Amino acid sequence: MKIIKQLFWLFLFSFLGELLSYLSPIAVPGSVLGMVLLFTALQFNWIGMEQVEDVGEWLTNNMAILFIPAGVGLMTNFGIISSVWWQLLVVIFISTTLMIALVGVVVQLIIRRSRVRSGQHAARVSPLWKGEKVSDPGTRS
Amino acid sequence: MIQELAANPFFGIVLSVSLYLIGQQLHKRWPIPLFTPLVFAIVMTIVTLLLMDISYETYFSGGQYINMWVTPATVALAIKLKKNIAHLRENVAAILSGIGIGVVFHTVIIVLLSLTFQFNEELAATLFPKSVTTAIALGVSESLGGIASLTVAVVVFTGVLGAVVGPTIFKWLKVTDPVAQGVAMGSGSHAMGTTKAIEMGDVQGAMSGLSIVLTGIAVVILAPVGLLLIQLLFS
Repeated sequence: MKIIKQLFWLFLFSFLGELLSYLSPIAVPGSVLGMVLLFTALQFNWIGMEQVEDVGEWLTNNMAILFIPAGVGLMTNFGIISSVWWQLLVVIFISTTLMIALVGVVVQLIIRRSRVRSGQHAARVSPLWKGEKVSDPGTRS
Repeated sequence: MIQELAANPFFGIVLSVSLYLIGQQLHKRWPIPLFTPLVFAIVMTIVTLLLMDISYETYFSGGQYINMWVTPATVALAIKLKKNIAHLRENVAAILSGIGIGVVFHTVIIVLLSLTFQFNEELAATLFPKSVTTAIALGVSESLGGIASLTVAVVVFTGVLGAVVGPTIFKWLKVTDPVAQGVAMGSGSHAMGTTKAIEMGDVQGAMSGLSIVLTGIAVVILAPVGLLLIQLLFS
């Protein structure tokens, strides 16, 4: 019964997301709108974490298997792939490495700066530390 | 006879799930990218269908029942976001600007390379969401007019690649901060990068999981701009 109830919420928010996507003028996937709606509901305690947690975590932890049918759809696109496969590989390689490099460097730079400003040492990195003031990029000197 | 049986929904389901499970076993023993369960299952399902001369449509009469779970699973990412939102508060400026700059930069690179290789509108739309988690990428690609199945393949490849090269990039560029490492892995190579990030440490894992969702949302927000760019430059 508990699983059915949890499934019900996830299906309901899936449908609400699709509905909103259908009604909205811009192209936003219904699944993402559903996610934003569920997050809002959780944040404002309209829905308790325990009402969706078990099934939801199970789904997100085993997500990979759900993409097999979509991926197998590749077999209908062999024509396109065979004409641009190496270009695709180049695009993927360049964009992925540069993205990871840039995001890593930028985030580290901003964290270090804010830590220097609030007088903390870079070594004290832990998700548990408290009291660090979050820097406001607008007031950096 | 084979065609009739293949049209039974359980054929597609059993085929794909069994190959996924075999992939898991192989990956446990030989952890090479080809044996990533999802990669293995996709490749071997395609090979099997081609060998048995079964069409994708026939396979999808079962595949659709797996595919329909993508939406509720994406919705359920809200739970991960809610659980990790506390981590965001501690470094909100750094994380949001890192992801924001990253996503804009990624779009620019995709557009420039797509122009260089003279890709058409459809291919550019296919590549635009490539660094985000498959579920969101699938939705964005479809709504921009991309080729959904190719997006899945590109996203999966991005994830596998990012997980492999991420640690090396950090070493070269001296990115030692665990928060920075986690955010970079999650925003650059989504769930597969997160798997690697979890191996690197707890902070990296939590940050990476959070970044998957934030990057997904950023890409969705940027999608109308992407669509406009694609329409302007590629048609």
